[in-house]
Amino acid sequence: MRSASYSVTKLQRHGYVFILPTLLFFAAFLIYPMLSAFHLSLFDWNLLGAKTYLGLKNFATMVEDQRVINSFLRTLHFSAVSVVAINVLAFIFALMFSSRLIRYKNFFQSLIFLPVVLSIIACGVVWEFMYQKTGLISIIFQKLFGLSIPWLTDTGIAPYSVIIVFVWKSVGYYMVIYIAGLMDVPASYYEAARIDGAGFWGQLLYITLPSLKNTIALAVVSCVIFTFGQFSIQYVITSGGPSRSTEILALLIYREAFEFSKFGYSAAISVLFFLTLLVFSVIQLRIFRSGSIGG
Amino acid sequence: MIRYGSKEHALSAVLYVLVIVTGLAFVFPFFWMAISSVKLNRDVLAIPIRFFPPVWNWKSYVNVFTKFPDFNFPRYILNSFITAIFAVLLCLFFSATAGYGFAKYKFRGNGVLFMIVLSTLMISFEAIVVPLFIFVRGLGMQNRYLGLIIPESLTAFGVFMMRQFFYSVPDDYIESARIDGANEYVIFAKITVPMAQTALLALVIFHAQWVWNLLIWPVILISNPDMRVLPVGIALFKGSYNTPYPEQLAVSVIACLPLLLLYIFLSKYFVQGITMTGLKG
Amino acid sequence: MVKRVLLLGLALLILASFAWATGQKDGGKKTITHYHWTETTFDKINNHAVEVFQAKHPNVTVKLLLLPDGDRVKTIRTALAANGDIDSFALSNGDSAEFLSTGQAVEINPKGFGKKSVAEVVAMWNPGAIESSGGVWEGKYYGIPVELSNYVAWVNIADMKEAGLDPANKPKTWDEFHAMTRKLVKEVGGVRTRNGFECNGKTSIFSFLVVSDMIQQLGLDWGTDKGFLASVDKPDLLAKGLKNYTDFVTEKSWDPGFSGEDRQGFANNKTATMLTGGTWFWGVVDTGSVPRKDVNPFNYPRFQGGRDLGGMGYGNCVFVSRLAKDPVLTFAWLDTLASQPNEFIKAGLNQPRISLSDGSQALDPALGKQVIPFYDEVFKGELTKTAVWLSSTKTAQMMDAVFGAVSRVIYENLTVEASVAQLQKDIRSILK
Repeated sequence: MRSASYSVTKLQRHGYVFILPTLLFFAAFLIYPMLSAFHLSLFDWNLLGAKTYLGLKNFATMVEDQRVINSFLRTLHFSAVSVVAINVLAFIFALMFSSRLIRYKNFFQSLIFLPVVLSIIACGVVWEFMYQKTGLISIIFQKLFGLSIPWLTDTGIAPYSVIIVFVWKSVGYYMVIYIAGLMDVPASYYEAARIDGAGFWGQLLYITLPSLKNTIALAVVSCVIFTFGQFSIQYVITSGGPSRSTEILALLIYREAFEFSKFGYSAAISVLFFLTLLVFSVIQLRIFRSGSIGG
Repeated sequence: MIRYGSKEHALSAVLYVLVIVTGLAFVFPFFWMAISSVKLNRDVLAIPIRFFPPVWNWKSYVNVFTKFPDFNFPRYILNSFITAIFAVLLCLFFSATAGYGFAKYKFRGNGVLFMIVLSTLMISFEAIVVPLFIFVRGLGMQNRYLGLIIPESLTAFGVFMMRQFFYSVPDDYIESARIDGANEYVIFAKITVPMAQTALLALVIFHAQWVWNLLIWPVILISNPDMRVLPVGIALFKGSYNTPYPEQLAVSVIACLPLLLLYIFLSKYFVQGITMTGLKG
Repeated sequence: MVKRVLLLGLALLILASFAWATGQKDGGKKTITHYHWTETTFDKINNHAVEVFQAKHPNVTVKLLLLPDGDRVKTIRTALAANGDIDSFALSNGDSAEFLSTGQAVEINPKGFGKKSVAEVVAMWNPGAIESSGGVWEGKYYGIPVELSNYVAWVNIADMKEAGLDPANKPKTWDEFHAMTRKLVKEVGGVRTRNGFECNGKTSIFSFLVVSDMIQQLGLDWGTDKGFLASVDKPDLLAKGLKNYTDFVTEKSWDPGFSGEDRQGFANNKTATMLTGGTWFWGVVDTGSVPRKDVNPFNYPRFQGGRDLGGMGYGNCVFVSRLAKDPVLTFAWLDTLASQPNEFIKAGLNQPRISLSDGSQALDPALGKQVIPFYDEVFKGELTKTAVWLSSTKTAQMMDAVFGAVSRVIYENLTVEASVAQLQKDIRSILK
């Protein structure tokens, strides 16, 4: 019989073997390019000429650049509204679509999940059409509310138009997560609450929500990360317009590099992006601290 | 066992209405897309809007494959399938092994290494596209399937998810197998992975959807038209000046179908999978 | 079950990577990879050039990569940066400066054309054509022109008649043009069904080309960095030019919310006029619902007292890249590619070539009139008086700055003067 501590250590070393392939590939294909991009932020480079060393000048310019500040604020706005809308709606839908009061639950859930599997370009074409003055959405609004809303041409409204598309496309994914969470709350909890006289709202507040704490944590944290990096919807539908009102950070990073050929500056903005997301994630994980997340 | 009183019936009816209306609202854009794909070009753009085609133009689906010699859609679909299948399989491999390693073994640096893996979620992909391209090209993988498959198989979210799942697997199974003399890898392959089937299927859906629709990486990597994947084909198709809308929409509908079928086929495993990953708490 | 699938997948992956590793070599054939833009009517003609060249050079394969305009420059740039497989490429005169100034293209090699000097090669094209289509940098010749076009104004005369206007009486000044577009707006029951004018509101290039034209008509030089920077000291003229464009929205001839894709829009009568089409636009019209007989191009309006300049002139050249494996052979390929001007003019594209390398006539001057409606009346004359696209290494940023100035007025309701003030700051910081 080997001594306990010896076999424990040797055993635990197998962990290294298990994580090795992943670490290797992540290091080569994600981390190395990331470090390369960060390194690039210290230069001025148009991809075809020579690199000019700038030190931290890109960052100094960035801090005063109205365009970057605008992008940053737009991204915060887009993320905040989207994450709240997605999670609130996903929770409500989860309640609705897994309720014992209806049948064919799977079918209805699939309807909500459908937008998730559509390609973003197809969505872009369709929604752009629907948002035009003569498009379906405008017509519906006109007939129902008598309002003619400039969905894609008003700088105040366009961000919300884009949020609507993004929420539509994402909610199904998170609804399923919440459904799974709901399914796991033991029926006995609800029974006990009912015996104690709790009605629908009472059960919701005191049984459902607390039991879902970890689900909510997972959903919100991953939602923030995915939303912050969102780029395709704005790129396809509004191209960042009108007048940069939907030019979020990921789009600006792309634009500075691939349209203006300012690869160094783009890399500097991506450093800002990374740090911001890092800070947000750390904050969130602290707020939602629980045993199973973040180990 | 559930007794439906009249109050419950009324509630049920109201709920049905809400559910149906919401469901229809969500699916509606897809309907519009599908029905417009069989209109004539001028009817798609017609004012006032007509929902149903005055003239049914089923030919648009045929045209997609016959009238545009520069766009070889069957080839693009094949490329997308190859890329997606291998990228997803590789992703399952990375996520399962790393997730298991992080969850079940206490080795030095476990926490730190996991954080490093997780931090890759915070990289804006647009930012690493150029260095990654230069690196992949240097490996000789430009315009090759591997150049698409490997980068597209990497997602920290998969590792995270599998780690969550493996946390919730009781150690007893593993311990008893060890006592029986099985080595770690056999335990992983023969005991733990089968238990993870539904979680892995859930990961399949999440990741397949991302890979199938991914545009930005293939656009940069692939310059050989024969190696294009479907989203690239669709984007280029849309970008050409005179592409008629019905054909654009037809190809978009075609692009949705594989994922839709995959989802329908796997959907019951899907919800189970999330439950079992212990993600809900 | 899943485990078996995983193992199978891994096995397949390993097999696939062996297949990759052993790879295929092209069996001793030389390849020329050429990056070009795609347009259905022209693709056929270009593919024919490939066949002709491959027939003449049986051991060479030409890979013609046809890319949409939006992606072409980015793809070329990335390919060059990563030392990829790119022997030749096509660029417009707005894009070429960036590439020529960083040495991405090779100077014209007369051997590829069977000539002895660059001057002999240049003489095969209209005088000044290579300059105007962006093939020249710092006095040296790099590019072979494959297009030289100009924007003219377009109007739907059926709409004019409907509004009680005389189709023979086209507006000559901007004031007249504005007045006409206001009358050509159509509304049914208070809901707009047609714009009087529209331009592409999403991408910067189109509004830039129209605004730049107006600015140049006012006497400023927006063709070079130096001129652009100097123009920034004349905010009054800038404001006048900018206002001439934004007034389309302010005066409601153009409702961007209704429609904002001018070419498709005009071809489907969502707008009665348009300012961003050349001879090739006849092909686009045919794909829309508006019949050819209702379409009239006419001279770009002028400012009263302004320069006699027509619409923006632009061109495309093809270049041999610095990565070309065999530059002389690649120039021979470009020569073949640019040897079908008569086919192209029938498809609506003007290629300014006088003679082919074997001495025969290239573009038949009489052909234009035969195949392009209004060729003599409008296009030919205006081609000699075009405004100049910006030739700069920072074109994309400048176009974006101008687009920003336009957007601020149209979408944010800023005054033209305030927008110009911001534009001054933007240009100075880009060009400093």
